[in-house]
Amino acid sequence: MAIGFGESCRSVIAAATLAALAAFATTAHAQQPRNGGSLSISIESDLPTLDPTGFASFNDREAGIILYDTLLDIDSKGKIIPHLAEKLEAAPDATWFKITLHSGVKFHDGTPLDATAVVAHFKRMMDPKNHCRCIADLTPIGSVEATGPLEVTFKMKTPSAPFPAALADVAGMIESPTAVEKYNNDISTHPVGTGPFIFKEWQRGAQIVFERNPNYWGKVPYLDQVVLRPMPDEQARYASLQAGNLDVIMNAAARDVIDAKQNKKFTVIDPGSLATVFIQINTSMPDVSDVRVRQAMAYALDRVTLNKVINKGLYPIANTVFGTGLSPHELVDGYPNYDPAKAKKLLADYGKPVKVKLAVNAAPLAVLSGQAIQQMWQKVGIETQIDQYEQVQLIRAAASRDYQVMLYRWAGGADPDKNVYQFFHSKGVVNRTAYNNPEMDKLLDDARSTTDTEARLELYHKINNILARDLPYILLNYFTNYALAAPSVHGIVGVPDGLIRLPAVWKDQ
Amino acid sequence: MIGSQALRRLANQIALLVAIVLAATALTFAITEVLPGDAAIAILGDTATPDQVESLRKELGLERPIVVRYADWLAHAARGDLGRSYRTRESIGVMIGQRLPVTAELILITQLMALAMAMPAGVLAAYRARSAVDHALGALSIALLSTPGFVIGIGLIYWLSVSAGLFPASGYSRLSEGLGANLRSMFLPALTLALAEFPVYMRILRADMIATLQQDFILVARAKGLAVKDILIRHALRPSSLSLATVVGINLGRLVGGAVIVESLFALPGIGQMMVNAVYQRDNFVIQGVVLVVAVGFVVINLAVDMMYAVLDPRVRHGFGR
Repeated sequence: MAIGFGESCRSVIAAATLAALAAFATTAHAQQPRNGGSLSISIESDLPTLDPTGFASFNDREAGIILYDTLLDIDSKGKIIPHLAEKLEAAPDATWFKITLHSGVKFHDGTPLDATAVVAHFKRMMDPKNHCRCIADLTPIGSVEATGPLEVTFKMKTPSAPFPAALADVAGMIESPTAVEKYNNDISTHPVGTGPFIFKEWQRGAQIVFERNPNYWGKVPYLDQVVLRPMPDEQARYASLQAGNLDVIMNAAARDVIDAKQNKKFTVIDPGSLATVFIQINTSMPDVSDVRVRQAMAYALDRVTLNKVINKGLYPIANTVFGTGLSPHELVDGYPNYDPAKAKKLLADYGKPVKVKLAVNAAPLAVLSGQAIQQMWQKVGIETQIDQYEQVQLIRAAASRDYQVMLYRWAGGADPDKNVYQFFHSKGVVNRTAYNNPEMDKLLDDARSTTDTEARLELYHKINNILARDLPYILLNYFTNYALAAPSVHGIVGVPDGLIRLPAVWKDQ
Repeated sequence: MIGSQALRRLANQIALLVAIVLAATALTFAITEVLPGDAAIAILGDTATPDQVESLRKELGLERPIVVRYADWLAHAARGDLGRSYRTRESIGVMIGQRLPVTAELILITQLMALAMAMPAGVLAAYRARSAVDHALGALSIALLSTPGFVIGIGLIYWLSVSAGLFPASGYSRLSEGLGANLRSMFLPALTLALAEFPVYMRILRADMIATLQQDFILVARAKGLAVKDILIRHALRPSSLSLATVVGINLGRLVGGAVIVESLFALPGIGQMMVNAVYQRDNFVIQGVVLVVAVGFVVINLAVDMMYAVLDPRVRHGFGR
């Protein structure tokens, strides 16, 4: 009895001391970032390459900003800011852009970053042989020239106000021209950039290791090492974070974000969003070609309930195609909200029975969403059939307009243009909805022809209103690339593209 | 006489190997062809124009008829050249070389674990047939058999890794990082697979063992007054292991299928994970390469198992029994 008491007493004291120490340690750390340590971040699958010409996915771009710097960057509000280029000048009609590079920046191999390197980079990215996924961002470029040792001028074929956003993305990731020449086709495994970390080792399927760049031109990172770990299974990622085998989960699943918010064991980073989830409609297909049918489909959807059931209410309902990181976000005068009576009336006006084939990704959550949508539509009398597709199949069907109605997601770009022009312009290269409206075409073209932010905002406001009326998309919710971090990780700032900028990140040891 | 028989069997086996490999690769080629979408779309993604897709398709040689592509691939593969990945432009031979040891180690450890559990359990269940122990082991077998691998895997992760902190929840440590770390990273994935194999092995061993225990030579051994332990292990186990050896051999191939799930779950860089990625990316030559390696492995192992019969049971060598 006495021993038991003594023991429990001791452990209470020990616990109290530990807690005090821990509290002291936390406050001390909160003030003082520490150098050193290795940070492991999960990605969804192994990367295909470390050469920016092959970058496409979210994962690729994270590796990209670790190794390479982008010419421009975006801040936590989604605003374009200087990065490798310390200055950006633009023609008022967006027909030319001029960037001035930071002086004294060197690639990891010692090659100086200058205008020649940047021009060589763009020539390489624009070469059709390299099949860069970024090519759509670069087609408006008429010429790229070094107009000074650190100054590069882009002349555009057509007015291209959204061009700076491309420089904040893959197209703006500059690789060392010396390395390109030296490694040629093997550049994908010998990447050389100017970024905060240097490539060390790639163990295929297991990990990619990067080490601190001690000569980084910006703030030298605190971390010694960053490890990207491909982990295909969602549950295993979260379990690994819980078991302490992993420091950060990028693009965490809704279920895990909710769990982390409830148990408060991990830091939840909400970076805002550029992306939206929506139902896209091929307006050249029977029934859905009639705007009344599309409106009925929108009014029949209880988006709030859908979001609660599928996403546990985690993501905000979308009324525009622009996430929180884009200025025309929610700038719209009304959107069709749940109103089954209105839906039934519109269908009665249309007069014919409506049959819909809804294409969804075969992933469990997408199928579940599809089923919920199916139930809501069938309630107002829209006969709905669900067709499941695997991702590549879904893309093919969308690209060839071989579908009627499809649940889809667009990752979004750092300029509003990237979420609308290519999809809704009658000459848009990936207009999957067959949407064709001269008024829309003019607004989209106008928004490309001025760098005046106020004027552009007004144009996108009008675009939002037209989209809410014509409904080539029925918007569901914004999509946020949440990240989860272990409590020992500090300094992660959410940026709407969801990528983690690592120089400011540090770790308790 | 025996020599020429063995040679003929070997020749038959090699003919079988060629036939199986041809059938397996041709079938895979056809199946991947049926999937809508191809590597060009997978590489260029959802904002590519039809022109861009068409030009890449030409460059990759995807526009040629399937028979031509298969023949071309086969001709190269016969010379040991498995081609390059559409997606990463890496040599597929090198890719498989990097990944195969991981999967091979996983499967080997799985088999050892499964046998280490199944052999004592099987012998015990046979010796005490229809006892409470036997029934309990039977019930456990059914439970394990009817639980999908990924459920067992997630369960083990939460139990032994998240709660107990005994093993890493995911990831792979190379042998160069130390044998201990390597085995620790392999333990949970191998156990996940082994728990599914264990019931099969145990039930097979139990059944054969019960049959053996009723044979005359066991009666003789008993009559000689040998200890139970000696009878079971020295006299009964070996002749009862024939079916077990066959199943263990066949399962080596089947386990590659299990590795697909387990490697994805535990983020192990083996050929299973590589195969899954290749299917998603329509990286057809990578799929072909893996199928080829697995098919060859499967046939060779079966051949080896056949030859092991003779070692396990002298009756096979002398032309008696089976």
